[in-house]
Amino acid sequence: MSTTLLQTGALTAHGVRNIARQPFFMAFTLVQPLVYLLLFGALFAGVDGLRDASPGGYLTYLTPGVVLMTATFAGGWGGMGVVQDHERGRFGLMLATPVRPVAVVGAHMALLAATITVQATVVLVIGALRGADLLTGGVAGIAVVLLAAALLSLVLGGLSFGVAINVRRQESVIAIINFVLLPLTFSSALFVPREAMPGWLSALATANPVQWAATMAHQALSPSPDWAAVGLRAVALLGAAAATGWLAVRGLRRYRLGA
Amino acid sequence: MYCVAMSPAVLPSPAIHARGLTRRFGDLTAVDDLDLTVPRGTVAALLGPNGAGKSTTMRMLTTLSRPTAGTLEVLGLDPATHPEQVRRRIGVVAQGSGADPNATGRENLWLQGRLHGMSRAALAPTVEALLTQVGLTAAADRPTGGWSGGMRRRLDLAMALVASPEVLLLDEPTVGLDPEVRRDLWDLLGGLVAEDGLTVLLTTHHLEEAETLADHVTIIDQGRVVARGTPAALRQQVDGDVVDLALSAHDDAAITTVAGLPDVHGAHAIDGGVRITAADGARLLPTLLAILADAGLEVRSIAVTRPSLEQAYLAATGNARAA
Repeated sequence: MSTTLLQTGALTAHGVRNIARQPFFMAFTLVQPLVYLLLFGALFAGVDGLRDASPGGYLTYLTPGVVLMTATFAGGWGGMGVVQDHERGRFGLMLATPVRPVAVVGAHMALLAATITVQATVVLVIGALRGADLLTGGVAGIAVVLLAAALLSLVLGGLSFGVAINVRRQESVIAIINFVLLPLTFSSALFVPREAMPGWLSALATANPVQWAATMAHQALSPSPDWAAVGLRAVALLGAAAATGWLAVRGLRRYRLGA
Repeated sequence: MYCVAMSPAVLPSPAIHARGLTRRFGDLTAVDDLDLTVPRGTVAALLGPNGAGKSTTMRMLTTLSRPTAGTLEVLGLDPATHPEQVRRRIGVVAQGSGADPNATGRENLWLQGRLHGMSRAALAPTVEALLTQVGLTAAADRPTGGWSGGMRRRLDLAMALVASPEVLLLDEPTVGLDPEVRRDLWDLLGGLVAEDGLTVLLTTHHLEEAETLADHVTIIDQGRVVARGTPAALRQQVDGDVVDLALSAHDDAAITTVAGLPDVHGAHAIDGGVRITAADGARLLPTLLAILADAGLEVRSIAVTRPSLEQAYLAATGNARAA
């Protein structure tokens, strides 16, 4: 266990240093959600019924939605780096060391969660500055939004890693991830409250991890949160992250056997 | 019980030992019944054209692929059943650079050491010593993505050495490098091996590389061993030295006399003279000159050519294809 932790720590620290050295990348990943916030805010605020999606106005409803969309996409596209590492021969070399596959996947996910937490914080601050009322649930409410974003990025991060390590081609990974991400995002109440969704889509959303995270966030930011519902979805997301993480670890083990 | 004292198990196992090693991918047999023994502390080369099965063999040795048939041992351990123990004791330089281009040289070395479970205290001096040894101290804090190919290769080598391996496995270590840079890397490798008593197995399609670095060369083609031996012995397998003599006139009788000499493998007329193949051309020269003088022939020039490993290689791979 301590070996796995040591290796996860070393790989995560390595990744953090890499990101810190790329200020352009950092800035870009922060600007992107802000553009979403601006665009969707302008687009949907005029739609009938959405103005009252939250007592605090549409921006109050949208801001956690943009945070979670950012988490979905960051996790979902994480596999591209995996394909790059494969093409560069980094996995080939790394897997000939005593590294544990769990540590490789664990570090990938830890890095995702850390990045998303920073991004989400910035989006929340900007949202609040533009008038979103995000403090109804207090500090606990904000913490739950950050937790939901981190967990959601892990679910999709594991899935994307798993797909990438099995498929190992940029084009195929792009096709698969694209196919998954948009339907996941839009069959949830990230931008439109569930009551406004068609019945079948709302039913579909029940099985959608993005919706689990959305429920966590919207509940936590509401005046009277249903903490049981929040806890249940947190556990569900954690379970899903463990499942997709396991998929990724299994893929890496197969890779190591030359499959 | 009385056999125990004579059991081969009490002898130190060779660093690498393969018997009948075979790897198939569907209908394709990439490695075919390969026997290979690399004693500890020696440098061996696996030489062959592209697609000969060198990299597939490397992947099995580095625990990243499993044999279809045959046995393989690295330091007495089967990489398929004891991969973790093998990984702890080998250093690998893969065909492409495995370094992270976004990270600096020092960070790459550091990560490699940590993945091997080295403590910070042990790693810090090792990293500095290796950077000095491979001449990368000045560049160590720049991301490796901007480095030259030769620098990256030296880093790959340092990464392979960071955890003090017993066996170093190099897959085409100088492929794609300038001749000058290649020579630098050979010098570096040669020095490392002499110092540390490492066992090294390298694959290459550069004859000169095998000849410069290796004590023992195995030539493979289409997955099979076609020749093996020391570079000198492989050279001798080709028909020996070639002696070309330019003569003042043509004389069949003189050629027949020369061809009949002991140690001469053959002699035939070439344009303006005679070509003789012999085990030791230089030693034969006085005798040759005396015979030719007796025949009244004037010798205008003499050229003795030692057979190159290239000839041995072409002969071996050519024969394998013809068979």
